[in-house]
Amino acid sequence: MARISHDEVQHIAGLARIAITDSEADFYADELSAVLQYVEQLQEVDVTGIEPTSHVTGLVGVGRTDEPTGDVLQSESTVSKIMAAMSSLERGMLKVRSVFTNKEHGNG
Amino acid sequence: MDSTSYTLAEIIKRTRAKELSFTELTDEYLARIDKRNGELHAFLSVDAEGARNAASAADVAFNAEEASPLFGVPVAVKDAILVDGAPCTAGSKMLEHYIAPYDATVMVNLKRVGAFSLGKTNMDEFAMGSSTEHSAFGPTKNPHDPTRVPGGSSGGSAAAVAAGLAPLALGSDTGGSIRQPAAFCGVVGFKPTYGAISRFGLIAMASSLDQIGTFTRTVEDVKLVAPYLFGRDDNDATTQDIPELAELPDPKSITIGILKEGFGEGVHEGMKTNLLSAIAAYEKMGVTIKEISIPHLKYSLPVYYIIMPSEVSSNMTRYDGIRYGLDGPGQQEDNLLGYYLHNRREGIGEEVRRRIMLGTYTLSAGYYDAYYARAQKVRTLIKQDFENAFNEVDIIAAPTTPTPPFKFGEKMDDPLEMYLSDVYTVSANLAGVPAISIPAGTVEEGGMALPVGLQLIGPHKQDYRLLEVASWLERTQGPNPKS
Repeated sequence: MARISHDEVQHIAGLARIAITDSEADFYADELSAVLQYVEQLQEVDVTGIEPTSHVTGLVGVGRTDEPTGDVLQSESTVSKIMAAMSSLERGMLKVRSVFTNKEHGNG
Repeated sequence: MDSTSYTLAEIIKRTRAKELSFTELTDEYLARIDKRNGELHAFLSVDAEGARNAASAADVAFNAEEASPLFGVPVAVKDAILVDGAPCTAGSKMLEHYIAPYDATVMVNLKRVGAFSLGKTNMDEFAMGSSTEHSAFGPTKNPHDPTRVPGGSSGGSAAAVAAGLAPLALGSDTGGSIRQPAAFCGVVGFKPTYGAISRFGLIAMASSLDQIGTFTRTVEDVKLVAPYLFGRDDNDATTQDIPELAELPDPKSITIGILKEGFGEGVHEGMKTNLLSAIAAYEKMGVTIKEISIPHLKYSLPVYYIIMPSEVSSNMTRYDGIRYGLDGPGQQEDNLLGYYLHNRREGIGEEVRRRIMLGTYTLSAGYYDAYYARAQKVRTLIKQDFENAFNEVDIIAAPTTPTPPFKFGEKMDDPLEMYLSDVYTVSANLAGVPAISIPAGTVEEGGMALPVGLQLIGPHKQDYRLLEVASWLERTQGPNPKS
């Protein structure tokens, strides 16, 4: 039976970039284990030789030429509205935190 | 006459007969929203001014000869669909102050033929839930019994149409999020073939399953609306054309398969009686009825609870407070990792966290083959089961839900119990086929008459035939059968 541990939950939460407390990790360990046990029944299905389905349309490689289309996303007013939602702007650019702090710089 | 009783067809009739202006129509809906929304909480935001302006412009421009059935019609829009200039929260604190920068393609299509948004409806956070109890802004109440949930995730849209706050509402359906609330609220909920309506401008949940669809009071109304919503879109490469019917089917040429797995244990007994009597009505019309099996149906929910969270965990990475503006505790952090961890903790609610973590786990190294790859293979078997079934029957009939609407809090402590309310709806998303929930009377519970939904499922791209067959039942019963 799949059982996900407290430490695994903390590891996954880290990968998913969500800070959780130790007591939340215990809570999610129980809940996620219950769901994993429920989906365990798929192990009894014989899938030998069965191709996976990732989508149902049967479409393959839909493309277009790389040219401006005059689409709503390319209009200046849309761009400025999209930028208005951003948390921090400087000189018309999105500003984000640095990935490395000074202390880590050079060995990160 | 009060607008609660208007179907879209009646609106068309009355406005063409000049008995009703579009301004009067919109004012009636706004007045009902004023009166009922405090209690029901169907709408998260209402654009009264925008709706009034659009309605008065419609009155000026109205040309009865050329107007589309949607001309001048106010529409309630699930808060996961972008309406230019309107808030779009997806029921999440993460997007509490987010304003949509453009119209979703489905809104472009509606506006092009003269419809407009009345406001944005409540939903489970990022469409994850079956009751609206996971909305960061509080739940919607079921208009048939305010102690019960309206279903979810598109519960606000379902309640809005059921309570007469809008004649038409848009929703999205990833595993039942249109059909289940439609059944719980006693309205018609239609999920088209995957790709029939563009998803451009829909906040993504699980991209291989998500589909925009409608809530209306009647199937006739869906038939009026669908052609204007369907169509290819350069901004959504998965869109595909839905062929129109060459000729109307005759009941005698149609076979409906009763889903064997849908009428066993676990389905409410009173509901079974309603559903079987609806099927008997089809038989009386001359439709051939037989039993049909989807042998892998019992695996559809476990497959869904691997594929959906996996896609969710990927789609949700974009919500980190940077591009969609959450002014959260991450602002205190000087490095990017801390900013992510704390903004996401603040902005993302419990159910969404649960699904992100589940998907992160099932996609992680060492588990991918056991979970995700296997689930995709079982998905193939479910899809094949439907193809085989549709070689024998034209339409499959099943319950939409195993039970009538449940009470608030009843399933909140047990996520698996909540997930089971989608047991009959997820398979249509996995197979990508169209499905509709239509009202099939009511059952009595605790002294209240609670709606029952009959689900009809059709083959890939046979949306128009599905709608046609669904409308036959309505003609014998009349719209929205009363208890």
